[in-house]
Amino acid sequence: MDELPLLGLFTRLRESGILIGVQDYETILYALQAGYGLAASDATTSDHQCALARLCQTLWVRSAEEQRLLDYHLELFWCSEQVEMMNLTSTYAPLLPEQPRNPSHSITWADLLKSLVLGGFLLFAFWVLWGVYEYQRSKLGLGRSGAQTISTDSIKGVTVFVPKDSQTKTEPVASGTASLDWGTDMGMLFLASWGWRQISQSSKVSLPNEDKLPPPATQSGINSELPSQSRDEINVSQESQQLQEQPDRPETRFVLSTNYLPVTRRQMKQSWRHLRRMMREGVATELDMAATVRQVAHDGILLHPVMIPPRINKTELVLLLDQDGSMVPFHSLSLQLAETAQRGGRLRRSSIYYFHNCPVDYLYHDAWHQQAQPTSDVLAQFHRDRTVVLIFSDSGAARSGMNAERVMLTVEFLRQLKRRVHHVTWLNPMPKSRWANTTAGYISQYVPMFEGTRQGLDQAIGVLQGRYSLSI
Amino acid sequence: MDENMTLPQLKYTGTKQVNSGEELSKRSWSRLQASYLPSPELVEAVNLAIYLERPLLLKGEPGCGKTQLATAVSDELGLPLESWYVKSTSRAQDGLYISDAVGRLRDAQLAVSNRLSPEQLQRMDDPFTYIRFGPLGKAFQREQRSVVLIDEIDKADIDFPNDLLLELDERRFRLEEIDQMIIAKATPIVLITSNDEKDLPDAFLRRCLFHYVEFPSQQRLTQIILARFPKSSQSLVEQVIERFLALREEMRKDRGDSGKKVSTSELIDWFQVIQCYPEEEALRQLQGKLPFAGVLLKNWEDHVRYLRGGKGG
Repeated sequence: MDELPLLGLFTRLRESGILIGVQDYETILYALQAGYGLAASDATTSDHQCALARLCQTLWVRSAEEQRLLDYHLELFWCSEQVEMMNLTSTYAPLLPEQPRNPSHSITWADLLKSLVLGGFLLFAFWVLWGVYEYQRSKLGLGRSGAQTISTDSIKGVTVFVPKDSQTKTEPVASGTASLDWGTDMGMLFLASWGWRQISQSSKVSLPNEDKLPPPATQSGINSELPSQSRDEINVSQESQQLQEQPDRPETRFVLSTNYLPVTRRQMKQSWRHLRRMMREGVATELDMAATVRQVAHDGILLHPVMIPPRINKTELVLLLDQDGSMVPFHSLSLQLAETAQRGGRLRRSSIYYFHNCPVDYLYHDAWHQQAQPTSDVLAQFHRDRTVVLIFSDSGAARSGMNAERVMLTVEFLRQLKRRVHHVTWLNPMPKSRWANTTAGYISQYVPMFEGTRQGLDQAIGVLQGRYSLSI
Repeated sequence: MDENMTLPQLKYTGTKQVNSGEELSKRSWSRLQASYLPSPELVEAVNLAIYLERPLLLKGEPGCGKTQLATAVSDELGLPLESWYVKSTSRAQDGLYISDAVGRLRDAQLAVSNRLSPEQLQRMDDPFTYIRFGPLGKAFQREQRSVVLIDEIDKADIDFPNDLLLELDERRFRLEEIDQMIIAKATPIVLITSNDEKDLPDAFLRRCLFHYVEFPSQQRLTQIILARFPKSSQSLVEQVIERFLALREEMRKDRGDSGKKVSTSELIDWFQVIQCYPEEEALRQLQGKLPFAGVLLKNWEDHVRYLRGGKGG
């Protein structure tokens, strides 16, 4: 389990919603091998921690929010896994002076020749080792110490990614994905490293508690070019699965995550992106090829090319957010809706207004109902074809019960609104089952109303795009 | 593998500075601009990006030297720099190549009417005549690695970063017009800056390394100023920076962390003006009303609010 460093941290970060995958994990191992994220050997513990934290930050973190999550999980990590930290330094420190990977991929003849000789030698060495291994196996019948007797030090030093005592020549192969584009001598070297791996894995088979790994392939499988990285991926995902399956790790039971809303930020942004009404507008900057050819055919000679304006998204979104009262539990959801629409939505314009319970005479620019603007003024700014309106309110479904006055006022407002704009929709954070016999139930007869889920949001945006048929 | 010995791994140190007068006299102002003092964290991030061959995304408040980094890196490593300043109309394709269809059409027309010389006709047969490579396209074709700066990527449409995924990932693209694949000979060092006006798509972020360029500490600010103006006196530099930081702190209190505050680049401009005066004169001016306020304060409200006499007034 401890073969892969930082795996616990990686898994916890993944669970808490940072978008990192197996490839990112491989990257950090690769960077560690090159000596990044490691302080000098005589540095203090806090120096080690800082160096590693910086590396994680550069590779895995992409926003302030993720930074907070990382800091939190690193704290846990420092407390729980001091030992692993020390192992990490001792594992990778001897590798520091190694020659890094050649950035240019050109290969000279001398290189090729050298690698051929080297490959041949390694193949031979491997063949000998394999023979010994097979012999031992047959003698001991998959004996416990079979592989260990071959070369004890190789097994001690083997981590999945770095066969430490294999010569420097094999190191590029140990580097996961990057080894794929290495060059023609790759195949030869691959055999060698594969051999090491084969031995180390079969030795793992013989160890207790390690019987989950697939059995070693037969000898005929050696020559098939099995990409080394896929094996690593299998290992990583297997181990992370094992980690997840452990129920009694106290620090994995509770995961600090920001994705507790029914719709995550990412999903909201993706949905907003569908809200687009492309029209050509502005300065003519794009060449209209068809029209130009047509004109050449007509005139007999090219006089000037035909240009057209580029297509841009003309949708102007108006969000009307119900604030306070029964909406208090949903404030974070409405805040996220507003933020994602403004920052991630790529709309031509998105304006946000607040109201309380139902929009009557005034709409507010801020959530605290300070900056008021008469509703009629706001409506007057709307463009009939471009503006679309999304209302976010529980419309009385949270408290349940029927309020005739609220229905009347809301319906009156909707009537005014529909006179100005084509597409209006309503997002209700309460589930649909709670709407019946409440104010929400009545209002939903006048406007397409959806639940505050991913599907609901997508359907609501579909309505704003004009895809809606009244199916009640 | 011997090549490893002769071709050492590129390593950015961030320590190369303008050293002597002769270099200064040659291209004084542009060289002066190029003296750049990155923080150790930034240097490490750059080296990681070089080593892992991944793009490095830089964010930070305006004027903290995100764009300058590319010049500094290319200067120090002696690599060519390809800058790509993204505009709101930029498309991902522009960075790879632009095919001059209209030029080709025009030449075809001229050829029909026998108005082209034989050389020009010959030139027409070469398919590359009408292809102009963009910054990434040029960098892919070089034998050595180059530094590619994609500046202010958030200004473009949301499709822009997504359209670049394949090119940045696999470092190849297809010339559709002549059906030829261009594969990068050497992986360029890609530095991307963003002003955080819009969020970038997650698929793009996943492929980048990320670094937030922090505002420098007082000590580092002093180093930066001294690196650029080596002849100025220590006490003047300290006084200027103290006054500058006081203004910045006041702005931070008023507007919170997200508002526009005076930046490093503005400090450099400000010092540039102040150091033109004799030292006593400059020190005297610093004691009074904020001198040369136009360099630091960029709107009327700021002028009214911060243009008060005395220190900390």
